[in-house]
Order: sequence, then C-alpha cells, then structure tokens
Amino acid sequence: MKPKVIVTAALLLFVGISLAAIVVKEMGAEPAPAAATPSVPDAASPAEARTAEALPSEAPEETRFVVYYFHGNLRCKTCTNIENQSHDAITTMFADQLASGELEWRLVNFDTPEYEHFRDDFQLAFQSVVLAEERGGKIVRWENLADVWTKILGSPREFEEYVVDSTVTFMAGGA
Amino acid sequence: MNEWLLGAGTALWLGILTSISPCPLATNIAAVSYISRRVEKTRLAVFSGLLYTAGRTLTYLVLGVVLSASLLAVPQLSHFLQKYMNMLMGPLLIIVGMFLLELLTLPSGSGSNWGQKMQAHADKLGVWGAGLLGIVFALSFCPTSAALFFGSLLPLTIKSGSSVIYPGLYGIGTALPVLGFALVIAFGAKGLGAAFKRVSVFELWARRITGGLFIAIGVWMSVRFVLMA
Repeated sequence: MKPKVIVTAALLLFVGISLAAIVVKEMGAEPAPAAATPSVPDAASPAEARTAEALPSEAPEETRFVVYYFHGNLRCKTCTNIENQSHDAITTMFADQLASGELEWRLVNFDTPEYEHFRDDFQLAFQSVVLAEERGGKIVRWENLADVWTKILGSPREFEEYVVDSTVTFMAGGA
Repeated sequence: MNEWLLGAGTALWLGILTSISPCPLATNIAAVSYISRRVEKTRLAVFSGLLYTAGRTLTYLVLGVVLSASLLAVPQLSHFLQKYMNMLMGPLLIIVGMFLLELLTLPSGSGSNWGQKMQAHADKLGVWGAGLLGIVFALSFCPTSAALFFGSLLPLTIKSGSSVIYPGLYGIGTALPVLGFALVIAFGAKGLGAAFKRVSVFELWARRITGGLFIAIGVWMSVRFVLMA
C-alpha cells in the first residue's frame, strides 16, 4: 500500500475517532445535582437571596468573605498567571484574615457538573476572580473582578494592587 | 467625541492584545501560514489577508450587535463557543490540511474540462477560504479571547452604545498582527524565491508547510480539547 494512502487513512480514522469522542462525551454528560454551596443572590436583585439550594449544615452565622477563583477544564497560561498572582496577593496581604476565618480562598472548577451552577449564579462567561460576602451560609453580595484580564497584561505590582484594593473595598462594604 | 475615540482605541487595542496573547497562538500560526502560502501571487496573499480580517471583523460585529441587543445570554454563549468550537476545530483543521497536501482531492468528472474547472473553483475557494477561516477562528474562543471580548469589549460596547464600530475595530485588531506577519513572510519568501529563481518551488513548499501545520495543529487541538479533556 502506498504511504500516501496509509497517511490519508490514518488521518481520516483519527478525525472519525475525534468526532465519535465528541458525540460520546456529549451523550454521556448528564447534569449532576448541585453541590452544597452557599446560595447566591441574583445580580439584578441582590436583596432577594435564593434559598432553594442546600446549605452546609455547619454554615456559620457570622459574616465572612470568600475570594473565588473559577476555572474550567482548560487551563491557559494567562489563566494560571491570574490564579497564582491573585492567590499570592490574597495570602500575602490578608494573612490575618485568612487565619481567623474571616476570609477564605476557594478554587472552583465550573466545568465540573456539580459546580456548573456557579456560571449562572455569578454570570460567569470566562475564568474569573469573584469576591463574595457570605452571611448565615448565604451569599448576600458579590463582585466579579473582570479587570484581572487586562491588569494581568501589565506589571505584577499593578495586578496585586487591583486585587488587594478591590478586596479591601469590598470587605469594607463599599463595593 | 474624545471619549468615543478613546473607546475606539481601546477596542482596537483589546483586539491586538487578544491576538498576541499565548492562548490563540496555534490558530494564529495556522492563519499566518494559510495567508502567506501564495508566494508566487503576492496580490492573492494580500487579498487573502484582507478577507481573513473581514471574516474576523464580521464575526465580532455580528456577536456585538446580537449580544448588545440582549438576544443571547453572554455566559451561555461564551461557554458554548469555548467548548464546542475548540472541539470541532481539530477535525476541521485536519481535513483542510489534507486538502492542502492533496491527500484529499475534489472528485474529477468524466469531461476533460470538468477537472480543470473544479481546480479553478478550488483555487478560488482557497482565497475565499481565508474569509471563512477568519470567521471560524474568531468563533473558537479560548479563555483569554473570551475574557477580553465578553468581559472587556462587550461592557465597553454596551456602555457607549457603539455596538457596530467597537466590535468591528476589535475584529480588525485581532487580525492585524496575523496579517502583518503573513504579508512579511509572503513578500520575503517571494523575494528569496526570486533571488534563487525558484518561486514556484517556494510556493510548493509553502503549501506543504501550511498543510502540515494545519494537520499538526488539528491533531494537537483534538488531543487537547477532545481526547484528553
């Protein structure tokens, strides 16, 4: 058999396998029940917090703040930089608040079926850093730091200032 | 007016930032290679480059108008395009690469002129294919392009009410670096080919390299977005 025929057949087979894999993945993807996470208010009406979602039984009643980093299955270089620099900024500048439990860093994969609901909850169109205020296990206020994607292209210092200043303002209730 | 111009400059700059970020590197290499492959007819390379730019611009313009009018939900559309376009891109690039390497050919008819006519159509389609490539590549959002388009450009567009011009400028910005590289390579290769009096040989190799790159990038994208995802 000619090499050209073999290469053509191999490539067509690979294309066929890839297309079949897409179909199989889509047919096998069943929505999983939402994981027990704090309920999130609608962006348009923050006062009306949703209560339908199950809450962790040990959810504390006091106010606490969460810095979420939402990522997908695909981790690009810029996404990883945003995650690392945000994490470094938070752990360096808010060490006391993290130790006391007033502030928490959470890493969430929104492509995981049980966490897909966060896309709707926080209106996530891409990998994002989101600040949230939890009270009694419910998220009462949140802010998407959408500018991380342009700040990351500048200096690390500028990026850190943006994340830290936004977090300080948010925790002070001024977001 | 100043504010509008500042917004227009920002839209163009966001497009350039999208294009030079590492995330769409694979598709940019494919586009540069596709546009610059017509070494012998550099006029066609320029035309292909402009069509590629027009394809990208049209795509972002339509998305900008549709999303500004709130006809589609931004998060859902963003996730849909990031997931499915990247999944389908791999097989598509492999098939296009196979045509460029002539591993696959259009069927030849029984009439003697029919095959030549089909070849002429295929050549023409190859040029217009640059526009189609621009549309498909613009739709295959990676995390960075999704963030800059949906997160930075769209709010700017909605705030200013300029749902046509800003996304259009963004589209031009995403194509500019690719267009620049492609034309430098095309004219450089033609100059080099002319110096060695081997322009047609350079063109043959340019087409082979483009086909090989399309297949390699297609296999890589299929593995990354379908088989390993």
